[in-house]
Amino acid sequence: MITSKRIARTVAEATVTLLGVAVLVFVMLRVLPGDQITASLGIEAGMMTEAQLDALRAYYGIDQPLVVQFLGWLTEVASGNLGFSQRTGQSVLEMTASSLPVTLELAILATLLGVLLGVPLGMLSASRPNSRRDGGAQLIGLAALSIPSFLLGALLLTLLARILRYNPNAMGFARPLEDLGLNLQQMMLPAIVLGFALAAPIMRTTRSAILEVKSQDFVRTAIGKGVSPLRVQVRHVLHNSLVPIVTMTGIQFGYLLGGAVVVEQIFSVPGIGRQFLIGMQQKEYAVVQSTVLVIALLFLIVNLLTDLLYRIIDPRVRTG
Amino acid sequence: MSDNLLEIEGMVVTLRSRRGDQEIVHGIDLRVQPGETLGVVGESGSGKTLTMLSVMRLLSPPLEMTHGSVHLEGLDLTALSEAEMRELRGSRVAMVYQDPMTSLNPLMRIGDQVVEAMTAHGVPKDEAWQRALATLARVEMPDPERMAKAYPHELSGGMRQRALIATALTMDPTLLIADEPTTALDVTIQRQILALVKHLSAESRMTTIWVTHDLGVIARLVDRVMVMYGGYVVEDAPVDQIFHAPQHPYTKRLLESLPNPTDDSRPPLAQIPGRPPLPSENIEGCPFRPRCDEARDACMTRPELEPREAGRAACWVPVDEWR
Amino acid sequence: MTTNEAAWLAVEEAPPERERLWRRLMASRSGRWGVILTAVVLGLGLLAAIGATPYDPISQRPIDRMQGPSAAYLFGTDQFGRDILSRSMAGVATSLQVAIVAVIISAVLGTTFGILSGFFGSRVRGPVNALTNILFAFPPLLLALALASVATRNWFTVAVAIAIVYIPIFVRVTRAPVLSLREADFIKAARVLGFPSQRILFRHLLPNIMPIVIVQVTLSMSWAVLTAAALSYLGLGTPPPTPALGSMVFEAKNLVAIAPWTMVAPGLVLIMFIVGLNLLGDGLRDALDPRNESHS
Repeated sequence: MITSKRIARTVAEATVTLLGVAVLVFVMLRVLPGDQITASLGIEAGMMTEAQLDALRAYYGIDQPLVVQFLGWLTEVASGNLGFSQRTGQSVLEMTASSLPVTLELAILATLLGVLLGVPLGMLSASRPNSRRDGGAQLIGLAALSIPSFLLGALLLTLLARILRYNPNAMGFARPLEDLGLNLQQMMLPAIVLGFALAAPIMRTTRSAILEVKSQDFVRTAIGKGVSPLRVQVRHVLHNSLVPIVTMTGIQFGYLLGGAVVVEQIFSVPGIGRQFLIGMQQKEYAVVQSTVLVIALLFLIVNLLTDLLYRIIDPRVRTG
Repeated sequence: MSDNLLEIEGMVVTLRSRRGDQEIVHGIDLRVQPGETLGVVGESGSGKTLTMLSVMRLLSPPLEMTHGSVHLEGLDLTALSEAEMRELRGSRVAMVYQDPMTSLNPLMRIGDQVVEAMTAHGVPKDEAWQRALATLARVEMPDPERMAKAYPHELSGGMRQRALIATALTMDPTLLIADEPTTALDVTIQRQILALVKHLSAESRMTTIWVTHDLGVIARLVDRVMVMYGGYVVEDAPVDQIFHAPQHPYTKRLLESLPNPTDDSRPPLAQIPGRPPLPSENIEGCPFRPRCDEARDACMTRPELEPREAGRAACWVPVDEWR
Repeated sequence: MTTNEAAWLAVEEAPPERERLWRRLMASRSGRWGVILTAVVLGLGLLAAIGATPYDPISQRPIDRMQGPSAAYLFGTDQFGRDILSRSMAGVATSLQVAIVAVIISAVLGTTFGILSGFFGSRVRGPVNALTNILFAFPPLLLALALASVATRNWFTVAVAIAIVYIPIFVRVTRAPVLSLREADFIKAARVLGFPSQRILFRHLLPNIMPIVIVQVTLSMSWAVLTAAALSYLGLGTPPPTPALGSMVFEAKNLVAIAPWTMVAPGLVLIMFIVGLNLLGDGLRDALDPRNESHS
């Protein structure tokens, strides 16, 4: 039974972790010599006097001791204020509300593609292990694992754009509700690139899970009852392989939330990864801090949900 | 005798590997009459389980039945297509396995697993469910309705084994093969299950083959006993003869090793020194020769099964010459 | 060695022999190819490290710019007239430098923490757990990105960034076997006989988890190379003019329509490197698995 005590404990652990994440992020950003003011003002900072810079620092509160700044930031976040971009003046909350759904859409599409490619390949591999079929499928998996997403993405983009003159990503990004057709076209290549990379670990997990389940006694019992091969494969073998497959899929989906950064950059998809990257490049600490916190929070939530899902699939775990 | 229910002739089971093939079961014969209960006794590695799996064609690579024939009520099982064999499995011939925990699908309710044995053979779902509950009651499962909705891990060992038995019996098979169904259970539960199966097979006049390593278990359970060693049949006789007048030294040693606190003439816990041969150790002559008290020079040639009293035994040395 | 230890060593479990390991590694197809590919790429990198490239990877030769593959320039030249092959080789050297340092740091630190947290009780395990949970809360690439961007840009900080991301993985991978080995008879015997903890850890526990560590090292090398390349693609890796495979791909992206060869060499080398390391990792895992002993 998923007792409320368990839920409370998991939430407590997650909160502690999240706090640690916040500390880590906060500290990381202040390691760099030269602070936010000098960074954001750029050349102009060199023209100001120290007194003027100090005044600015006091105004933005960054002359306070780190701990005070950190606590101040935490309380702001708790009340929903994620900070502002100094350049555009937009609130990070607004930016995130706009970029997060984009990444989610991409992650969902990529995960779907990854599963559609990875699970059947894994099943194929496992049906006749160490055969040519298996070798071929594993080769595809190896390729997917080893071709860096940025390479594949860059290659596909330039190939289609320059040679076939097809580049939907060159136009402004279309939201699904505004122009679903264009949106899907723009999502297609990045989802394929990400999905391809994802298919590799999913294929591996599927293959090893099925191989392990196949040799178990209850499969023999099912065959001994005269059950049809299809039903044995699905209801007995695949069903019992689901837990590791679902767990791996959940983990990979979580990774996509932050790991889509490079692909978002290549295909100009305005997702949360890109938001983070641009924030880093322009030394917008407020943006970066809050963005990373949001991503980490999402990642934790995805992990929790995967855990939950796996308890639904396997009744044995429920009583644990 | 062609009125046998099950007739195995010259069955050879081989383990195939890249380094070469290894015979494990060396051309055995087995006959069971309708309604009979046969006990197949042997230590681990004697080939008894493999023989039974071969009957049901449940062997998977690298194991393979490379020679021999299996006839069930005159039907040649080795000649059937996989689809035809599938029809027989679970309906005409059924098997109960050793470890009920691993032999049941952990993610499927007990009731569904019993039902599956019927729906696989075309029984409509509703009828199957009714029959499943009835069968669960027959195997003395308390509160069958509730048990049917439970998962294997929620049940005790004895309950799980009853569920497995129910799965096997629910289509009223002509032949039931029970492969050490009590080995993984506590002693007290063992006796319950043994009594249950005995009762069930008597009640339905079902032919049963009972595979075990423990001679004591089948004393009051079977009509006839076949003793296997090292992939060969060494003795085959009615149960009374096996227990009172064994015709093979191995059988005698098996009997002596049964714990008997009341008999002072022999040690309370006797053992047969040595261990059974591995398939790769191709022993010359009689497979039991290295461990046999009665071994003579003649034993360097493997003895065939010869009629002995009311049964058969594969030994050169007559009983009255035993030391 | 004390008499106690000598007598007891006879009972200890023996780690696999090295020679048989090599043979088993070469016997599997993935092991064989893994060794070959990795050796080839390593060779290229080493040549570049000692300066034995066909041309100087950095100096520009505007006269020969944008030339396709020829006898003189096997993989062509880029927009500055630099030989792409030489640059790719130097790029491998850069990747190697970053990846090796990153993996050494994370393997040493991660394994140490993993062993400590597995062997000693909750006093150590608590804080280690908390720390690894925090690091695990980040998607790995993102963490590496963040860490790499906050420090001054040089190859060492990139290596440290990657190392930090991988430390928790080593911790997790080594902790589990240590937890179970702790209950093994030979370890219990050692403790009862009064061997100092340090000795137990290093001379007896470590050799038994070595196989797992080795496989993980290979796999993290592959990830390190991939991530370093991704970072340099985004402009966050080793600063120019040092050639890096990722930034070469980035530059090639704009040229690929008119000069496709600019992407071929760095892309191929990168793929070969990662594939080689992955295959090597798989091959090592199979070769070190005691269950596979009977196959040879």
